[in-house]
Amino acid sequence: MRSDSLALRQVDPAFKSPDGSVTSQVFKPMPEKDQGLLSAYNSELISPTKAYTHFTETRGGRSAGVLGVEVAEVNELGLQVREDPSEFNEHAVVDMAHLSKGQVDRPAKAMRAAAVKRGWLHQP
Amino acid sequence: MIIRNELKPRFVGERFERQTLPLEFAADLKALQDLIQIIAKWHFINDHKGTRKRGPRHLSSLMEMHIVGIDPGSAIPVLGVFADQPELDFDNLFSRSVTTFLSVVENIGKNESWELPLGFPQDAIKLFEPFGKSLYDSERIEFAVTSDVPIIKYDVKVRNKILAKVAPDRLERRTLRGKIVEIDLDANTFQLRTYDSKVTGRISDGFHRKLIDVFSSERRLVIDIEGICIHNSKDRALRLEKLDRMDIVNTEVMRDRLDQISSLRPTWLMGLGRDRDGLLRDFWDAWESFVLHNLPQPNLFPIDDDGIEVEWTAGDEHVSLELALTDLKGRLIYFNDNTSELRESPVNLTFEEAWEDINKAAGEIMLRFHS
Repeated sequence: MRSDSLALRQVDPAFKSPDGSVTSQVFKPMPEKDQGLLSAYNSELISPTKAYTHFTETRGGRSAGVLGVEVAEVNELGLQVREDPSEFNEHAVVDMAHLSKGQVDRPAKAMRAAAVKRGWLHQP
Repeated sequence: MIIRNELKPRFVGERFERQTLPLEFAADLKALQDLIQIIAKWHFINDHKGTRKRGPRHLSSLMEMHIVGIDPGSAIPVLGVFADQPELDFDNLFSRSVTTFLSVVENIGKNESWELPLGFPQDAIKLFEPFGKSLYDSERIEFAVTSDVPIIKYDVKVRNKILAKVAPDRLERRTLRGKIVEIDLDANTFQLRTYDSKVTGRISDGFHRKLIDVFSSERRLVIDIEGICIHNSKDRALRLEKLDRMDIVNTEVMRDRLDQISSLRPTWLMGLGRDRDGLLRDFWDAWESFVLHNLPQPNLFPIDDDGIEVEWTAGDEHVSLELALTDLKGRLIYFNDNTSELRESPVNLTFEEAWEDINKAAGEIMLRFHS
């Protein structure tokens, strides 16, 4: 993926507070499901709005909106973003598999900061 | 014994209409006596510069005041002084001391900008704290020097003015957050439990009904109180001297959010989230007991493995508390968006000390943000 591409993350409604703040958990892989790979949509292949529609309608997920982090921003944290079309064509992952649970905090919070600074890319 | 001198402060207000004086004013009158005595000693030393560095022996006992009666006309305690060493020119010393005291009170009462007489004893200044402490806002003490001189009034405003000026680091306007845990109508006080102390406050006029309503509400309501507060050197609130404003803090937002989180069923997070019914009650009980503080309400988020995240944000800084709801143990995490600095420490909310750490960490980022 290009360094200026975005990894688009769906935000679970529970991870968005009534005042619009989001938790850094949005950028943490789920221990039981993700095996250290944070799922995202590849902005080179799909727009934030279409990613939202795909997630909520095709995959049946719940989303309060779409946030995004640039590949370069992720790389600066020592992490890689790569395409992962095994699930669906536009799928990408931020690889955090080598990090322990405690080590995930810093990059997750840094990605949250970058994404929040960028702002919502799509909101229903 | 002959009464050599008299001082007749006139107490004005509803509580004195029966020409009686509530017993609590004994402390105020004692402070008045001590004030006069210290001023007398100061005058005596000034009169004998170069020859005396100390006041006459037993000056305090020589100038001991007794309540010898209550005169009609609201409540006018007659404070008599028995003196038996006329060689001290005692009468003159006493009347000069009273005059000095009254001129200080008059000066403070009349002027926004005022100065104490040069060299005025610090010990005397401190006594303005107990003197008048028992007065309500609507009450006052009047001193009539002579019939042709205007009455000099001492009330809560005058007292606060002098205390604010002589001890600016101790007396200031503050907002305190907490719950009312006691009301003593006889003493006209209430107790507010803040997160780090219990603060006794005087019930100012117009607040009796409101305070009672809050105190007797079914839920112990959290309130913000603004007023003149005395703090110790560690900035801990000791006493609320004057209550100017009281607002009920809306904890509904936080409770609603907890209800939202509580109602999440195992279907959230694509079926991986867990039910939190019941577990959140323990958290809320602990929260209500210990986070009675001046912090804004934090954001709350569920954590996928039976947990909850509590987060305060102030500008680029965040303090997060990530807790397992099953045992209320977790981590306290500080993060700075700009520097990516991250610090974390374990917490166990079943220990009271953990709440001190949480309140301190969150309070620090709020303080930096607002300063």
